[in-house]
Amino acid sequence: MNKRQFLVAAAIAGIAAAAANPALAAKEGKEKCFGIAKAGANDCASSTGAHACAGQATKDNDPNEWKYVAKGTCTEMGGSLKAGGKG
Amino acid sequence: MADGLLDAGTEPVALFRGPAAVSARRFALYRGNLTANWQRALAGAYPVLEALVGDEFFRALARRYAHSHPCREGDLNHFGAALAAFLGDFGGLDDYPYMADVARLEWALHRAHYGSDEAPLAPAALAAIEPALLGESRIALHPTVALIASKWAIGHIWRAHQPAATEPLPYELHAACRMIVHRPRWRAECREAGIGEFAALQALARGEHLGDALERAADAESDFDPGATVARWLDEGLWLTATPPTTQGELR
Amino acid sequence: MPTTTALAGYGIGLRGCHYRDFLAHRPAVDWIEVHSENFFGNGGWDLHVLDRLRPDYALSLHGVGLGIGSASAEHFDAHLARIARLVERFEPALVSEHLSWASIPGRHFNDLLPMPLTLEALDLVSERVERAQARLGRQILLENVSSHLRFVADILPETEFLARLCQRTGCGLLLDVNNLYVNQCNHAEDAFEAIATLQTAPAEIHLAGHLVTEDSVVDHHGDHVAEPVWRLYQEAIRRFGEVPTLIEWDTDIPALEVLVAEAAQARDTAARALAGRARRHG
Repeated sequence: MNKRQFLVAAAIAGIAAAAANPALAAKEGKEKCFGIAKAGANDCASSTGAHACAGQATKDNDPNEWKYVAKGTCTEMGGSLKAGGKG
Repeated sequence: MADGLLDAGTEPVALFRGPAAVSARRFALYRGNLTANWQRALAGAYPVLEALVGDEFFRALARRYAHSHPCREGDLNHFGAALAAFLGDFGGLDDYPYMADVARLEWALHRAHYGSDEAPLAPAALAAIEPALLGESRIALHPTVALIASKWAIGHIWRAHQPAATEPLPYELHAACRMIVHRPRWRAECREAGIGEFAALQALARGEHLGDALERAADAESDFDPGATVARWLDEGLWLTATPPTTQGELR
Repeated sequence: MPTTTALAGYGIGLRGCHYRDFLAHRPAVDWIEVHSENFFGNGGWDLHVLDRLRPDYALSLHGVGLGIGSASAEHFDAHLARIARLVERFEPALVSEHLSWASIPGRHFNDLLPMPLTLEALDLVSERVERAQARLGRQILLENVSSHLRFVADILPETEFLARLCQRTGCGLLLDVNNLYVNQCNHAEDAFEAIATLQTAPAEIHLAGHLVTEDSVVDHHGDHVAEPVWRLYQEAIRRFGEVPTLIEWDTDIPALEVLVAEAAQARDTAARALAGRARRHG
């Protein structure tokens, strides 16, 4: 048996094992079937969606030039990583 | 009116009734809607990226992205498709070179959420293929499956930002990582894959035969376990169809 | 196959945060409305949930992205085709859009931007409504929007614009009473007068909360229906009788029970308006 035949034979054993197992969803219970309540991108306004079919009260008069510094969790991880440099 | 929505200071107040100063302030509300739309649409697809850079940066990023990559359609679910590429170009995140790969992972998860519901390949259907022909069969991956490779620890970063995260934020970020995105039933998920496993799935995605894909895996990883790996793939529903090299046609 | 096709009574908007509540115990509302664009995907959780709920609720498909008044029709037919796919799959009782524009060539603003209320605009929107109704093979409703600005060029009140549009195209009117009130505040328009002189009976009414700010009243859909809006609603019911009524809540969405209670309050308010009308005419 060459290497390829050995690999395929092992895969066939894996297929047989999977066939003998109940489906994933059934195994892990009903909770697994629930999707994530991802807010629709086309819902209106605020934290739940994006389309402005409901208005919001913030005026935007900000200029478009770039002057921002990343201030999120990236500042807590691994320090500053220059592009191309080592981590 | 469209110009005024994109750039502050160009409000076409003469078009509107009432005092110009009031019209200009009210016009800015529409511009605010627009920026908020962009930010929320991107935040919906890229929650980890938003947490990584912070609210103010993300809002400005959304504005800048939207100016160079306008949303062209009435469905905001596709806005954001080019953000990973944009992050690589725009220069504001040069100190954080892993961001674009985090974005690629998040976009794949976002697309998987809306991907088609086709039933994955059942192991029993595969068992019907002549064993001698299995190695020469082509396997189509499920449309919700995506394969993301990075030289950064994007899996760890992503997991540490999940609502119920138990992993702390990583410190060592320069660690290669291969992610499989898929959607068992309704929830888009991702997990890290071994070098061999990932090489095999990439080969299958390119249309190579199963036997060739498994050989690539074994070459890439000496202790690659084809039986356990294939069983896991089927269990996770990563495969859509198998097509043996005969007149049988595809099996699903 | 959907089993409920008629639509009457008091409904609420179905939003992602309430999917599980809806699946676990079908709340007591007469019908539901969804934003069409959230169901444009090829598959996934949103479509699955709507498939599950559809047999138990009459459905209204409410579009937020067609931009029927945009001068550019770049994506009009493609967008319409996706709505058509949903109409075929879910057989909604109502399909509605907004009287607004949204896009220029190469860019979509994803907002309900105000139209110049002119005869030229009426021609343009009429043509688009006819195209939409022909493509979908059914009537659509058009909704009045709230706005921060009115054009110097306007020659028609919005409700008259819509009434003429209904007359010309056979489309229906979706009357957003909160939007009427917001525009009354923002543009010194008389909302009572608009209802009293409306030449088309609405096929659906929207109710929502608004936010008063220094510069403008904002239709933010983030609060209970305000008292003056309830009074306008009663006026509309006295004039037109019972109309299918929706509670919209999109900002800081509360627990489902709050929305169900708000819909029940609409039912009570309409009943009081009708009782008052019966007394007066009886």
